[in-house]
Amino acid sequence: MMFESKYPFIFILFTFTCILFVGCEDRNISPFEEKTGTYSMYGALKIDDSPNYIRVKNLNTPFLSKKAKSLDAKVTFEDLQTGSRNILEDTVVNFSGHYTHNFIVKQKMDPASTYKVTVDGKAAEEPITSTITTPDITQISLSDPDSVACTQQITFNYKNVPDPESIRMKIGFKYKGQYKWSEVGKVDQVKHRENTDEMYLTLSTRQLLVEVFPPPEIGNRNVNPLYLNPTVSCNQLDSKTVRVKYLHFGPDWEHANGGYGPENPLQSPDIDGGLGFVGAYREGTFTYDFYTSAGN
Amino acid sequence: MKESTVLSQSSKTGFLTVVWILITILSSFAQSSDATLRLVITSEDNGRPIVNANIVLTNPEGDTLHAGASSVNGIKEFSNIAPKTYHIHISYIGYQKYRKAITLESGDPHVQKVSLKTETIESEGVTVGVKSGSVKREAGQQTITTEDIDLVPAPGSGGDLSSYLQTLPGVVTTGDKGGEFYIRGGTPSQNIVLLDNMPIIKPFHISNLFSAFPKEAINNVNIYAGGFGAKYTGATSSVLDVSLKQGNLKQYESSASLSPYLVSFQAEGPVMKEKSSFFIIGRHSAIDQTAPSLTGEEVPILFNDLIARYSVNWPGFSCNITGLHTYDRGKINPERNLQLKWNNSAAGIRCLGYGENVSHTLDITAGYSNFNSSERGVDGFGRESGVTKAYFQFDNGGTFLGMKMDYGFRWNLNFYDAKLDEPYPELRDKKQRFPGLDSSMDKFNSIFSGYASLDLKPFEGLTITPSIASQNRLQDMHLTFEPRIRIAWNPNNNDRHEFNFAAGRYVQMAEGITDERDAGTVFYVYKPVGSEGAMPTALHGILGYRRQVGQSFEASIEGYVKDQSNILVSKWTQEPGNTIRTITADGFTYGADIQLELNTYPFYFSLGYGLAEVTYKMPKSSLPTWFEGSEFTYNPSHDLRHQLNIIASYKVAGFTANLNWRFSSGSPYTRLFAFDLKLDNLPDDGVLTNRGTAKSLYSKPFDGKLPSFHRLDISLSRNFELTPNFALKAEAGAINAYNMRNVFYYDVNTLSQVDQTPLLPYISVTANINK
Repeated sequence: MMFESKYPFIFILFTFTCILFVGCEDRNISPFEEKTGTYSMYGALKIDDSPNYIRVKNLNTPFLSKKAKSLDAKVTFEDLQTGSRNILEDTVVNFSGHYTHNFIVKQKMDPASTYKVTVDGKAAEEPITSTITTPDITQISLSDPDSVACTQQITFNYKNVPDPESIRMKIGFKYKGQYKWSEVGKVDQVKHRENTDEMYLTLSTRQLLVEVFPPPEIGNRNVNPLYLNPTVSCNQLDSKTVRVKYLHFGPDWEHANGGYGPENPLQSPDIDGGLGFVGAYREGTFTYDFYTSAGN
Repeated sequence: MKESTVLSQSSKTGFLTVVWILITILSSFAQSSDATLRLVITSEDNGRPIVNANIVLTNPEGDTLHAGASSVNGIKEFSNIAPKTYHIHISYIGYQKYRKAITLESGDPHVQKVSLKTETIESEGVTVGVKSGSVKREAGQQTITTEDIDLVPAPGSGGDLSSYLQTLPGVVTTGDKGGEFYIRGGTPSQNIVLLDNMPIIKPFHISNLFSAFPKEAINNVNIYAGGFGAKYTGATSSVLDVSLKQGNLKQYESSASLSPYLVSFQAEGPVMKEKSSFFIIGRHSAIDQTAPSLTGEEVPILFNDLIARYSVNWPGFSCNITGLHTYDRGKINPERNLQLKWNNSAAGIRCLGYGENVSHTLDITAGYSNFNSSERGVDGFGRESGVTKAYFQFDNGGTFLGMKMDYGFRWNLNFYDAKLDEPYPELRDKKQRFPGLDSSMDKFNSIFSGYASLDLKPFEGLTITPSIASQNRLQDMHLTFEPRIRIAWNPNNNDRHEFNFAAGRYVQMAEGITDERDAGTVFYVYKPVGSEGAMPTALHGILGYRRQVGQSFEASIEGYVKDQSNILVSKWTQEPGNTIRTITADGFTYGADIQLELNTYPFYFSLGYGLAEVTYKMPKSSLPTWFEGSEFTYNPSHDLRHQLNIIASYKVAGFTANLNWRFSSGSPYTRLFAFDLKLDNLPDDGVLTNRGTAKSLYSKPFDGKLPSFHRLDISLSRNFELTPNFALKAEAGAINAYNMRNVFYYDVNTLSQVDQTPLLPYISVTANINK
């Protein structure tokens, strides 16, 4: 009987020993794995322009962390033709608590040249790099350099654009006192001419108007956009001069939309050892004129 | 050609030789006796069957000849015994012992009805046996009684099976919400829950403290964590076999209770006195209303359940008609806009023939079960999934070559339906959540399964139960082969100590797909395994030893392995996302459970320790190049390496104090390694003008560990008998009594730590009439 009466006491002692033994553990978890550290970098470097910016982020730093106010990394920009190397200066932009570090590339970049950006910091075991190839000088020609009819097809030719380089084209029409812009792509796209270093687009001015002033049917897959009418006709425009803006992207841009490796996030197609994308592009503009007749 | 014929004949001869040898061996075990004694044991108090009553047949000199325990129907059949005079000894805690001499003759079974009279035992110094009846733990099986459930504090009117299950080593929950139970490495979709043979897909409520099975409704529960016999098919991990009680056949009883967590009512009584009865119990949660004032936190969950039963007894024949409905709705992470909902509706009839006109007890069940679930908010869209089952089961016994044999068959008609990614025009560009599945599903299969099980006793103390099950999918006549065996050896031919062993092969013809990367959702899509796909299969092996010391102490240890193949898991992705692509993995679980139980009135103490390692293995091709080697192995989130459970109860001065302390190792989880502000639209998105899209990236799968879990639940209760027919039971207690901050999971969608229930104090009051 004496033995049995001790049971509750022994039990209580045992239970509370267990509780004391395990009770001191930290209850906060560390959901961030900091051993696999690296950086991301993003930048679209416009040649013939200065300054450009490359954003660098320590990927181990959580969002909205105050740690992001500073970045412990050295960013260098190297011209692989001349071997000249510059350490880039940081500038911090705060997006509602998200501190971003944007490194200033002051030097102008030459066409058809190669540059290398290196980020070296404690977060990554090895420096991460991105090699940037700039596009060559773009040669533009129109199939009919003189004024063309609104409904007449016109071909825009861009030379020195070898695949995988590419052209993005924007078109602007003056309407109600200001130029309205839109990227070409709804009606047709700029395409590579096979086995050449040329890209081209053939559309009439009226069809280009559909790009800027699209009718509601533009998204309908059953309707051919080449036969659609724009909501603003050639006759309604303020000016018969069409402005064309083009972006000529260097060969690196074929990976621009990935940013992350398709399987291993640390194997970005563009950044060696990190994430993101840095590429170079050229921007240019030109104009052409058209004329109208009744019904355009 | 000639050679192959010879070989074929040779094979045939060899096969026949093996069969002949087996029959010869089996025949040697057979007994030439042909008398049968069928005992039907009920309570004189309420007419209900008494489960697990100890039954011993002795000769007039008092030597034990046969022993056993009553089944969930209160029946114990001794078949193939010698026709002579026996002394029947029946005992059960709380009832007077029963003694009677009986002389059996060859031929038709003799049915003996026994009504046990109640006995008051609550006096100081009385020693209560460890187990009120048959073996409690044996090779993966554990019998759970309402007395067991009563020992665990629960913030309701009474105990609940769910609370008790979590105290068992080998039973794992990864948090305190979601109703997900993992048993010895098996996932929820690899376990089956049967309510008197009626399959209930998910009877666990969104609060893990509660299931559809309140203590008041339970007659008996058997949990088979593995190694179960051939009677059970369709699960590769475990079986939870719940038997409901009948309504009181002699008088009306009712109760109503109120607690901060739920309100409940119960009523039962005779429809025709001593012939038929009804039983009804319903519960509705209230925690969503009371939690803010009790805990200071929102608990946005709601659940309810209803069980109704009509029972009728004729001489030698009884039937139970049962209906069940459950409903659950709520959020696992209150901070996240992800709404979960599920409900079960089931109805069935189970009839038992045990009269002298049947040579062996006959068990026939039929019914229907429906489960629907949905999730809404993961990506702004809702999804639904459902399973409907109709079934018919027939179980009987007989003799085969003079040996006792159980056999039966089951016919399941299964309908699986889902609305997942309907191609509405506005969703055209939406990423599919289940890209491997059709946008909607409407599938049907019909499975006919049969089993046979022998009961061999080659010598005193040794029982060998080989069994075989086969499932046949009728569409393509796909047959499974599932041999199993259970062995129990009592070296001294008594219940004091026992070695046991179980092994078998288990096949599932359906599977559940869920996003196990995200603990914030428990939405499953159930589907049949395609005829082209390999079926989930498992091999189980269990070896155990159980020792009883004196009348009050029992210890058991059990080692086990569970080798599973073709488990569907979510494919790892670098970015946390909602898209679930599945891949097949193999799982291997091994471990050991130790349970110690001391039951010395008025003190009860039990300690359970579980050690387990769950490892999943999959081909490297399914994963990114994070990894070296051709295979990737990891420990999934339900790999809780160590578990420790303590239950204690003490009765003093009319009060009952209960305590449950639980500890488990931390659950593996996948950490994040990168936080990027991704600029997707260069050069239009300038680095100086655009923040970028916030993207988190996963680190290596399951390479992090949450902190260990531990929680103390306590309660103190007392009955107040106000009149002979009216009593009040008051209970005060606390869940997580020392307010431990236990981590549930890390939600990558909200980038926040989700914790489990903080200190939850409660007071419950139950009014009992005639109970």
